[in-house]
Amino acid sequence: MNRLRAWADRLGAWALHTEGSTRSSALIRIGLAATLWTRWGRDLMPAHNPSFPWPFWLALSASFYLSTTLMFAGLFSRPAAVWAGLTALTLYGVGGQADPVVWVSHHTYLLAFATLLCGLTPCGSSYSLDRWRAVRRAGRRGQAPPPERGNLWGLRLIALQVTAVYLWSALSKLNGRFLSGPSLEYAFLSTYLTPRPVPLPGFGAVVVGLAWITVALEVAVGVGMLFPRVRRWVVLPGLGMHAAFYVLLPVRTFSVTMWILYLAYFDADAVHEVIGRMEGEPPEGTGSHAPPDPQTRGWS
Amino acid sequence: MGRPHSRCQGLAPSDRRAWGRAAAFVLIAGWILLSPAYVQILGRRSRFVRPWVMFRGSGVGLVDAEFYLRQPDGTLVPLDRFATLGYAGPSSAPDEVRRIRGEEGLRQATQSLAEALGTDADLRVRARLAGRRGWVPLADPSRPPERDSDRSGP
Repeated sequence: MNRLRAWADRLGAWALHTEGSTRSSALIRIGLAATLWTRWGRDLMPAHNPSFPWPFWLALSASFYLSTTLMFAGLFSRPAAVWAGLTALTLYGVGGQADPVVWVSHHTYLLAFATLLCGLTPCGSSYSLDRWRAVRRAGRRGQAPPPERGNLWGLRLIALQVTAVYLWSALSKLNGRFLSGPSLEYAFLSTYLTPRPVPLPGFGAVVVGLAWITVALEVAVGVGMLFPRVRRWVVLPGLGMHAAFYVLLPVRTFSVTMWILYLAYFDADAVHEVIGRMEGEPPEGTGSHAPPDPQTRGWS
Repeated sequence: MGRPHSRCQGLAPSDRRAWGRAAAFVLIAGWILLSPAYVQILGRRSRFVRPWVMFRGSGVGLVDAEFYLRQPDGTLVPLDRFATLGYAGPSSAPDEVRRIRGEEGLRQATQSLAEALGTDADLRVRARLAGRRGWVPLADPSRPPERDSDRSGP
């Protein structure tokens, strides 16, 4: 019972009470804003009105460009991320009437929902105009710049969202059509006009192998990324899997979205340290870092 | 990656903000982790719930077809259907030509090729349909294929 209690305490500490560097959150904010532009920027041009009433389209378009610009620049970062996320979810919700391929897919939902969750992270406290204003304000008052630190519960939610994508996706693939190869062959047929893009004998067996590897990787990455000791072994295969999807199949922004969201798994202060080292900042303990906390060890 | 350095802060139970955050976390995490079950396990449909189902609909209904010209000695010579129809390659053909959809699409594609080849050509097809449960055989090159014109009545 005590063990269960201790485990629950650690889980609660990991989820709700962890403070850390805000640089990971800021990088996710900037990355998601750029990805939103890549995914929808062209489609939301006034010239591309997909048969919506004109005022509605104009409002959606203006909302998208304004919110994502604020998000990218880091001005009113958190409200801007929530605004951009709600706008993107609206596009996801109503866009199916116009063009399901462009607007409604798991790619677009993940991008929109992750943007909304980004608004729950301290994403404006680093690499932002918000940060610049805070530093100037502190300077005027003769104070030290505010630390780049915040509660990381929003990052935890993003990590859980990525894990959910992997595990539910793996579950959906546990059927004969996927594991025996046809589902991947269909995807190749749709993309390359042939289910055998590589004209090699035995390619059918390769496809079956790819199907099993995909499911195994999704489970391993989805669970393993949550634990530091396993993360080091699964992060590169996970990144590689998304790279392969991007090169081989028309997954559009899904791969880069997942790559960006991987940052949510990593210890925020470790990411801060790596960036600091690249920028020649003093090592750990002399900046805004806090000492290691044994209670969150193994989770963050 | 690396040791966890994050700092855990104690919370007083009376801290309303902390309790609000905890409630929000449980609600959002619950939605993230459990809502796909509504579609993927219970089999219900909802426009508000996002199932994480990939590769299920992609390519379904398309036809994997190979066309041949049967020689007098019975051998089958592969046929480039795009070149036969006058296209430089698949990328220059319209999508309705590039992708063959369903049995009807296969009949139309066969008809177009037969017309382009002329009446003397012995056109043969090996084709299978990307069905919901797996590949469905549609045509075998040992027999002449069905064409649109075969369906028209006297």
